[in-house]
Amino acid sequence: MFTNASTERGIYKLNSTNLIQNSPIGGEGNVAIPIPTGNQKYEMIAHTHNAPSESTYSVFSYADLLAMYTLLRKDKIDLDKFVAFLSTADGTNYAFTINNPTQFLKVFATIFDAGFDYTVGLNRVQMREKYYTGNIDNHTEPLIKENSVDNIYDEKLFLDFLKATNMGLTLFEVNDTFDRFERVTHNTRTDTIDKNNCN
Amino acid sequence: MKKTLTILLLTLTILSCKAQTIVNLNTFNQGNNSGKYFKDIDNHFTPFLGTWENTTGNLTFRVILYKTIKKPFGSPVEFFKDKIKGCFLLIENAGMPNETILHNSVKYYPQSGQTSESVILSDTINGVDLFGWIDDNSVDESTIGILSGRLKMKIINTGSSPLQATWKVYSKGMTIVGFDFNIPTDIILTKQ
Repeated sequence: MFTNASTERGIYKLNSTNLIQNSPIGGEGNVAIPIPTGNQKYEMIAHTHNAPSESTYSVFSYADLLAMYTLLRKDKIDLDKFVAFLSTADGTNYAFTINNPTQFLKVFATIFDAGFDYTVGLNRVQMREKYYTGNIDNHTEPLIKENSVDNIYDEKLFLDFLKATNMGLTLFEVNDTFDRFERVTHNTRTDTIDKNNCN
Repeated sequence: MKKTLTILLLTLTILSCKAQTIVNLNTFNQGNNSGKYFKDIDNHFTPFLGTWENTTGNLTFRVILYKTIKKPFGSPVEFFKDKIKGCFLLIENAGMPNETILHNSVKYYPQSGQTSESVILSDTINGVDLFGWIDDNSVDESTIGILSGRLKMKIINTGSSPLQATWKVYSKGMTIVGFDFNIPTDIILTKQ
């Protein structure tokens, strides 16, 4: 995908067609995903984090996860098939599936939602504070940084964030030709990424 | 009994105070955060605290920022931080006899039994740049609910009165088409 472009790029597939369609680009150069009409649901959403690499995350951003939550909340994700892909200017490729949609919805639920759990919501806000809050320009630094050059460290942090929030997602490393998938977990005892081949 | 409870409470307070190391807020995530209280030691929050407004035509956007001290993070608690919290109002004909509050971010949600006391969570380490998050609950509830985004304020005339700051609300990452912030996203606010 176009990771060397100056803005994000995205493609998606709905369950109603075999067509792979391009996502619009919204404000700030980010991919904007449309809400499908009728009974259509997403089977796949893929997007890039664009160049220069020091300006974008090597892993999914908080906003990426929030967008996926919004789609699931609107019942616009075909959970049996859905995969979210990411390709970055840092040279990383990832995918995630939603293995526990109930938990994923619970984590991002707000006080607007009947299913809001104060403890879970508070934990999500607090983990957001630890892993994603901050700005590279003259501010306290988040743990997951856009200008990080250590992709493995970022991956460990992202896995820690998923675990700390109990988000209900499964993360995979993907090769450059997108035909090899390895499920990844952060082994905090050895501080390594454990990989399980899924092919 | 009362004396025993008082001694117990005092002991717990002393132990609680000793459990945290007070450090400057600007050292957050510079090492292990555990057991620390990230405090606004240099009072950099002060310029931002209070009421800010922007009036365009007959519409006023009012932001109220206040300090919360030693907010716990983590379960079990891992560290504490001073934070700047806030709320906002959208007002038509502010200060006029026909003033109408179009939206107050402090709102009770019966579906969850919760009140959105604050919708802004932020801080600053230099008294000029404020960064954080904002929940825009003035969006169309039926389609969007609450829309969260990043918040940046930058004081542009430090030392002057009244202070002015740029106000920017944005999303850093994937967005949903049509899910746009209803609050202003790129304006100048003046401190009242």
